[in-house]
Amino acid sequence: MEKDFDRVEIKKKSRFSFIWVIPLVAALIGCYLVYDYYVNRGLSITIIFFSGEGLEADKTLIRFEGVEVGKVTSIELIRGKKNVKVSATLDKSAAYLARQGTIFWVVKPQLSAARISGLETMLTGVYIGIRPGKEGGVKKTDFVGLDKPPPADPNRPGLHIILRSQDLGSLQSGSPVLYRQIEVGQVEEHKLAEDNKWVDVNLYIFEEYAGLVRTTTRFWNAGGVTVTGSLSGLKVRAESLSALLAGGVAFDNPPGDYGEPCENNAVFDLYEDRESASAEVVQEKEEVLAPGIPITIKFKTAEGIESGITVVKYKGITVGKVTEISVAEDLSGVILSVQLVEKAKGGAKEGARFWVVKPGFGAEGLSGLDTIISGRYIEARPGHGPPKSDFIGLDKPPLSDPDEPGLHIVLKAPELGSLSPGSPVLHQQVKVGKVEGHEFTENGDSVLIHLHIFEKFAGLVKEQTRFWNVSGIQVSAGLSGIKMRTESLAAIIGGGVAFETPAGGKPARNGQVFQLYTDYESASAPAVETFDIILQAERLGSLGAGKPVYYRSVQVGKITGYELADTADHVNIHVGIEKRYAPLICENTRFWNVSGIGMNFSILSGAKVKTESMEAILAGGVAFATPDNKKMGKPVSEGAVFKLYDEPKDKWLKWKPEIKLFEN
Amino acid sequence: MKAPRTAREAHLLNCHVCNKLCFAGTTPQGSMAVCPRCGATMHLRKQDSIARTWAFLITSIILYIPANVYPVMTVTILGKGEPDTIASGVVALINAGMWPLALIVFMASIFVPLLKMLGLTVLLLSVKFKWRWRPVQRTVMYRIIEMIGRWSMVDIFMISILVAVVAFGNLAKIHAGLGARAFALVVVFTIFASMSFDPRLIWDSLGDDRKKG
Repeated sequence: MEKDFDRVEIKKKSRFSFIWVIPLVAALIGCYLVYDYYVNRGLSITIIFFSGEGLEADKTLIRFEGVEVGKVTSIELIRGKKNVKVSATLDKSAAYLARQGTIFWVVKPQLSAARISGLETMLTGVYIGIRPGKEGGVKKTDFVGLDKPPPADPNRPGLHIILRSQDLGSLQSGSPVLYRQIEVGQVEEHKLAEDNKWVDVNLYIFEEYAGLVRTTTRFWNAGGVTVTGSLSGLKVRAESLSALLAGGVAFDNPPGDYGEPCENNAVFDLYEDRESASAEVVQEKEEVLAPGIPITIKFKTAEGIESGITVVKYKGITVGKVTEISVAEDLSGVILSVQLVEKAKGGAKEGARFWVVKPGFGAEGLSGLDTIISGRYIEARPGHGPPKSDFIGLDKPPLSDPDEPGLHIVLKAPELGSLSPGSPVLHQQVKVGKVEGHEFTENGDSVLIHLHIFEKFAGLVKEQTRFWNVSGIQVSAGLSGIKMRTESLAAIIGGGVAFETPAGGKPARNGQVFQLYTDYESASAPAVETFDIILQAERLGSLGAGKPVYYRSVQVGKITGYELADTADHVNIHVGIEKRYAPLICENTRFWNVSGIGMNFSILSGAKVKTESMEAILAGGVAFATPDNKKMGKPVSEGAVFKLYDEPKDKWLKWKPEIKLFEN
Repeated sequence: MKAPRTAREAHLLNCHVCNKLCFAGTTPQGSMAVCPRCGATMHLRKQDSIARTWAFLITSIILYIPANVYPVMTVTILGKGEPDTIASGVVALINAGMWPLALIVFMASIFVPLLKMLGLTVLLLSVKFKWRWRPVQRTVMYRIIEMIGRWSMVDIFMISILVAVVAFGNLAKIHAGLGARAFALVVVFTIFASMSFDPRLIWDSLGDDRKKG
């Protein structure tokens, strides 16, 4: 057998077998894994949530700044409570997050007007967010979680400030903070201030924009739409769309006044809107809030006046505020206690006047319209006498303010017409002044109207200036057509005074009294001097003051008035003939009435119609004729008395005297 | 002396490389037989078969622990996903109603490796203690172990392909875990273990026994 096969060769072999190295290595790896597990197994924590909605054991993750740092291991109900206890492990590397002050909350998809957040959780399921407490906090493993995201981290770099507001408006957590409509921060949370008088709104300004907030910065509520209405139009202003929906806060720095950089937790006021946040308004407000000089004003009624709200204004600027309203001791009125600002101290003197401005439909259209919204206020006019602290308030605005630069004159008129304080004084239909007020003359037979001509236009009024009333529409209807004459629209409604100044003359002086004519015609007519005569008629007929007097169908004068004769057996009609036509009237002149339609029908002569103008026939008037030169008689003197015939005789109509008229 | 029934009894051995049949004779301690034709080392039985098989088997058993504890695969679809271990993967497949696939994964990843490790342990113990119990069945078992062992790699291949194919960023992605690596090593080491085992040892103990008897 041995010979049949080759014999194997014999060699020395190494003694060491490496094969056991392999399980050894595997064992080492296994040991390492076990070691690794124990070393890095993480920290077990428990979090109590109000609701376990959406949470799943072994699935729900804990994320810190979007990074997975742990996982929920179990969820169990707490016996006897409605809460759930969630056990979770935090990764070893994140175990330091579990400390005093750390906040856990469930991140769910959120849809609000301000933003959509947590959208990713719609796909991945909810997760637990974590925000670590302050560094160096005590280690802790039991937490109570929130069910909604906590407000922004107060430790985040950036600026954290507090706004003090009367009310919250439409602000909510997450509402943007806008600077020139760029989002530079967020509203974090809001809560009632300790005394419940304010709402504290916490803002977070992003780090890169923190420098924008200075100690002088003003914040206002940018939510919603601001509609500013005035007669000139509407101004609609809105900040960004998201602010429109969700509310927001905007801020700006007053121009040229950059204060110090702001510190964390500084407190600012939140103004209602951009306007009230503007520097002037704020300054004004601060002045009003500052203690000032106390005065009292006595009014008949406190209607529309509220303490703490109603302000005192002088030329549109707030100079004080009503602090208290009390009834006078004798019940004759109310006494308002007013705090005047320091600056207005000089005005609280004898002669100062106060009145309540309220909305009204007045001469200039609607006046005091702003008071409908802003409430009534008290207008003040400073006095010049010795200092005084108690005043009597006026029921209506006082007459002209003698201090106001310009010209103050008085018009005397038999009646007021539709003039009222504020009615315009027009020159070439430009408003150059206004009616300040009116009063009766001492004997009460006419009205004194006080005018104020603005300083700029004072030179337009001279001593010979004529004023007339332009109230309403003047329609002169004649057979030749209808003539409409109006001044400005405001004058139609509110009445007004117009004037015209003949060339030359001295400038008017303050307080000068002028006559107010009823219309333009009468204002310009008095330039013509009249020759007055008296007609005696049996009855007045349709005649009246202003009716024309014709000579050869030309108007040469008019009826200025009429009266019953002393004996009452006839009517005395006063006629003013223009001076230049005075020679037309002689002793034998005949006057007749042209009023009414006078037509004589006869079969023989046909219709005979009066020959005066149709206008005279319709409106009434007086005509006269003077006999031919030989028979006319002597010229008469002023005040001559003639008889007024009912109708002319044919021969009168044929008279053709040649009379030399006066040169005008 | 009876006629030898095995090559070993006849002191005959063939070269593993060139298959030359040689007469062994006696090999002194610290020496080894070398093929006179090709120079390869020659053994009557696989070298250190028992020890190597044990070593590989123990290695694979050790690795089998992390292979089951650590996740083999994380499937993330639309950002949502969680790691799966072998067992949870099977459960997930069953829950998803994919029974056939679940069965394949179960067979390849749990049943076969366990069967192999158990079978090899039994074989090793039977050789160690010179069991005479059913040598034919034990040999058949070895043959089956040898044959199906490599099929456990199906799981690893599947994971490899999925990781490569399903890579759509945030839409869907698959990530192989530490368990997959451990499992691949388990398969490799069980293959090594079954290769190291020499089934002739089963019969050797019978021969010894017969000699004694």
